[in-house]
Amino acid sequence: MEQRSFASASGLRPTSAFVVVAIVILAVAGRVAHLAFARSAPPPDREVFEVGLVPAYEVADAGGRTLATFVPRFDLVMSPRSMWQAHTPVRMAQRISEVLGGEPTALELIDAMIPDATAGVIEVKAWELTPRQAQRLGEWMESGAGSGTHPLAGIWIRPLARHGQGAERFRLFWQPELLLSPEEREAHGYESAWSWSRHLAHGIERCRRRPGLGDPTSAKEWDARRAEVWAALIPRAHCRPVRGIPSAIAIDVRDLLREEGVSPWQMKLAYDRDRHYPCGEHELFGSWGFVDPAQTEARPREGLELLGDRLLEGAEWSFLGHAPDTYVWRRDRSVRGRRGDRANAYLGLTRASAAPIVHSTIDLALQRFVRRELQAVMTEHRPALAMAIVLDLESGDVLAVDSVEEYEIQPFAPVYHTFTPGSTMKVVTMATALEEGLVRPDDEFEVGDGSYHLVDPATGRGRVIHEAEGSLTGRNTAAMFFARSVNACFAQIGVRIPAEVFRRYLVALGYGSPPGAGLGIERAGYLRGLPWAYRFTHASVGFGHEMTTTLWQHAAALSTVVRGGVWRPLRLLRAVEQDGARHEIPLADGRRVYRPETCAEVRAMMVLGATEGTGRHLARPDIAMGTKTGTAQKVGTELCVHVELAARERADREGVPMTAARLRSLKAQPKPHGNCYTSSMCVFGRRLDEEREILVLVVADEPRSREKFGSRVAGPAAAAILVEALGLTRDGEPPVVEVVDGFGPSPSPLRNGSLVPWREEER
Amino acid sequence: MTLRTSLSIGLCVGAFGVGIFTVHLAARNRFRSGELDATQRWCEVYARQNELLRSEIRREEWLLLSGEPAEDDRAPASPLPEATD
Repeated sequence: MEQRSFASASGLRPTSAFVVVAIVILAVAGRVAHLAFARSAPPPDREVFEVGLVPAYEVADAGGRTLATFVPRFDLVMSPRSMWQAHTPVRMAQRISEVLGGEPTALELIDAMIPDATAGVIEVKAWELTPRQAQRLGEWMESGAGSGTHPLAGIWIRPLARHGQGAERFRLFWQPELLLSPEEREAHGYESAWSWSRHLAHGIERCRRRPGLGDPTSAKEWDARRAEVWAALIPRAHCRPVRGIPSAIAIDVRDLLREEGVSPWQMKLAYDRDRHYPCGEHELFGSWGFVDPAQTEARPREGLELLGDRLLEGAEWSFLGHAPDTYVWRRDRSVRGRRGDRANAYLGLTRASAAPIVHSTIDLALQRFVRRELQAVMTEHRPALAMAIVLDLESGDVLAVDSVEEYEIQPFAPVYHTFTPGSTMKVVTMATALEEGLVRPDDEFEVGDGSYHLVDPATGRGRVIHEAEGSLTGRNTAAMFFARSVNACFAQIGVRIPAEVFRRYLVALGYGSPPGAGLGIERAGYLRGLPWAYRFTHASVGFGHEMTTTLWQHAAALSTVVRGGVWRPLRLLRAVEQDGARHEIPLADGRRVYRPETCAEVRAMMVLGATEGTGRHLARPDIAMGTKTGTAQKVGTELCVHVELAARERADREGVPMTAARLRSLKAQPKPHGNCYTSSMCVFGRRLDEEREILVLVVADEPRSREKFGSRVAGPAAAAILVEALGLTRDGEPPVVEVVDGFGPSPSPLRNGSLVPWREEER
Repeated sequence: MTLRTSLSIGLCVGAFGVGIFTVHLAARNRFRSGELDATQRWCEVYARQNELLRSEIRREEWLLLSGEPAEDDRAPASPLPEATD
C-alpha cells in the first residue's frame, strides 16, 4: 500500500491545530467553571440585587389578635435631577396622572416632581453670575441656544438685589416645564429630551466659563461639567411625589415607567410601609415615628411597640431570622416584552424571614371593657383622670392597663401621672409593721372621736389627724381599723416602724424610683429622703400621704403583698413567635420582701374589708375577694390636678415649656371645685372554683361629683372589672346560658335576635 | 467521498445545528426569564395587596366582635387583578 503524507497549505501540522483548538476549548471551559463555581467570582455588572426592608415584628394580644403590624405601601420616588435630563416633565406628569386615575392631577404632579421650583420657576442659587457671564448667557439665550431660530423660552437672568457696594451680580432663573417642553426643543431642532438637555447643559457651561479656555477634551470631563450644571439647575436629587399608590395601579405605573424607558435611578416604584393598628390606636400600643433628627427611618417611640423593639434587640433573641427579601434580576436588553420595550430577566428570589410576633399579656376584650368603665367614671364623677390596671396576681402579667383623661397629657398616665396613694398604702404599712413584729392584727388602738392628737415623744409637739365622716371611732383592733380604713390607727402603726426601716421597705417595693415599665417616659413618684419628721412624713406615710406614686409602681407593690411577699416586675410581654415556633419569655426572678405568713394576715384583713369594711357593698357571693379603698384628701397647699393638667395642656398647645416657676404660680389660682381628693380602690379575687387570682387597682384623681370616697368613685368600676376579668361577665353582661351546645340567647341589645333579619323571617 | 469526509461534514452540520438550537434555547430562556420577572413583580405587588387586605380584615373582625359600628362609607377593597403578561 502506498503511503502519502498530507501537505498542509498553511504549513501548520494538523496536531498543532488540534492543540490550539483544545487550548481554546479548555480556556472557555475553565472560565465557565470559574464563573459557575468560584465563590469569590464577582457577579456580572448587569445583575441587580434588590433587597427589601428587614421584616419588623407584629404585636399581638394574649389571644393572638394583632395589635400592630406593618402594611406595605407603594410610593413613586425619583431624582428630579436625573429624571429631567432625559424626560419631559409635562409628558411624564400627564401619563402618570392618567395611570393614577387623575388623582393627583398633572399640574399637581409637576409641582411635586420639581420640588425646587416655586410657582414653576427655579432660581439657580448656586451661581452668582458676573456681568460678563450674564452677558454671554443672555446672548446664548437670544440666539436660541445657538440654533439661530428664536430666543429660548423658559430661562432668563435677573440682577441680584445687593446691599451696599460691590460689583453687580446676576442670577439665572428657569422654568423646567417650559424649557424642557417638546415644543421648545423641537423648535430648536432637537427630537429627544436627552440630547436637548445635554445641549442646554453644554451651552450654559460654555457661557459660564471664561472665553478662550476651550471645551473639555474628554467625555469624562464633559460628564463632570454636565453633572455640575444640573446640580445647580435642579439641586434636589431625591423626592417622593406620590405616596400610597394602590396595588392594582402599581403594576400599571411600573409598566408605564418601563414603556417610557425610565431608569430606576431616575424614577421608580418604591416599597415602603405604614404601621397599622387593626384594633384601633391606643397609647398603650405606642407608635412609630421620628424622635431624633439624625434618624433616617421611623423607629418605635413608646408603648408596647418600644417594649417589643427593646426586647428583640436583646442578644437572647438574636437567633430569630431577620433576613429581608432579596430579588436578583439582570438588565437584559435582548429580552423584550410584547410592546417591544425592554425587560429584565428573573434570576432568583430569596424570601424574607417571617416577621416575629411579640405576644403581649394584654387581653384586648378586657382592655376595652376597662376603658368603658373608666369612661363611665369620668362621666359620672368628672375627675381629672381615671386609671386602672388589671394583673394576674401570680405572674404579675398585666391583663389591661388604661387611663382616660379630661386633659390631653402626652405620656401614658399609668406610668407618668403621680398621685397620693392614700389609704390603699395601708396595705404596705400593715405588712411592714407585721413583718417587723411591731403590731399584731388583734392589737388594740385608740383613735379618738374623728380626730386624733398624735404627739411626738421627743419634742412633745403634736398634730391632729382627721378622719372621714362616719369612720370607726374609739378603741378597736388593728385588723378592724384596717378594714374600716382609719388614718389615726395607721399613723400610730407607721411611727412604730423606724423611719429608715419603713423607707427601706418602700424602696424595695419600687416606690421613689422609675418603674421601668419600658413604655416610654415615666416618673419615679415622690418618696422623701431621710430623716422623716415624726409628726409629719413619718406619720403621714403610714396612711399614704406625703408621698406620690404612679399607678404602675403602686400596683406592683400591692400585688407583692397580696401575692405572698415576692416582688416581681409587672410584665407586658409573654412570648415571641416566628414561623409557628413560640418562645416563652421566662418570668423575672422575684425578690422576697415579706414572709408569706405576714401577707396571709394582710390578705385576711383585706377580706375583712370586703365583708365588713369599706368594700362591703362590692362583695359578691361567687367571688372570694379582698378590698382596700383609698380616699386621700389633699392638703390646701397642694396644686389642684385639674388646674395643673389644664395648664399643661394649654402650654403644650402653645408650645410653651412648663417650668417649675409656672407650676408654682398655678398654686395661686382658684380651684374649680371644693377639696381635692384622690379616690382609689384595690380589689383582688378569684372564682370559687378556680385558683387564679386577679388584682385590680382603679384610681380617680380629683373627682368633682358629690362622691369622693374610693369605694363610691373607683369601687364600682374596680369590682366590675374584676368580675369581667374572672370571666363572670362578658362585656359586663351575665354569661349566656346555652340552650343547645354552643348556642344560647344573649341579653345584649347588640346581639338581640330581633335585630337579626333572618330571625324576623323565621317568625 | 470517503467515510472520513462524510463523517467530518456530518459532524460540522451537527455542530452547526446544535449551535443554532442552543441559540434558540438561549433566546427562549431569556424571554421566559423576562416573563418571570414580570410575574415576580406582579406577585410582589399582590403579596403586598394581600397584606393590606389581611390588616383590613383584622380591623373589620375586631369591629364586629367589639360591637362597634362598621364604617359603611369605607372605600371597597381593590378588586383582585387579572394576571398581566
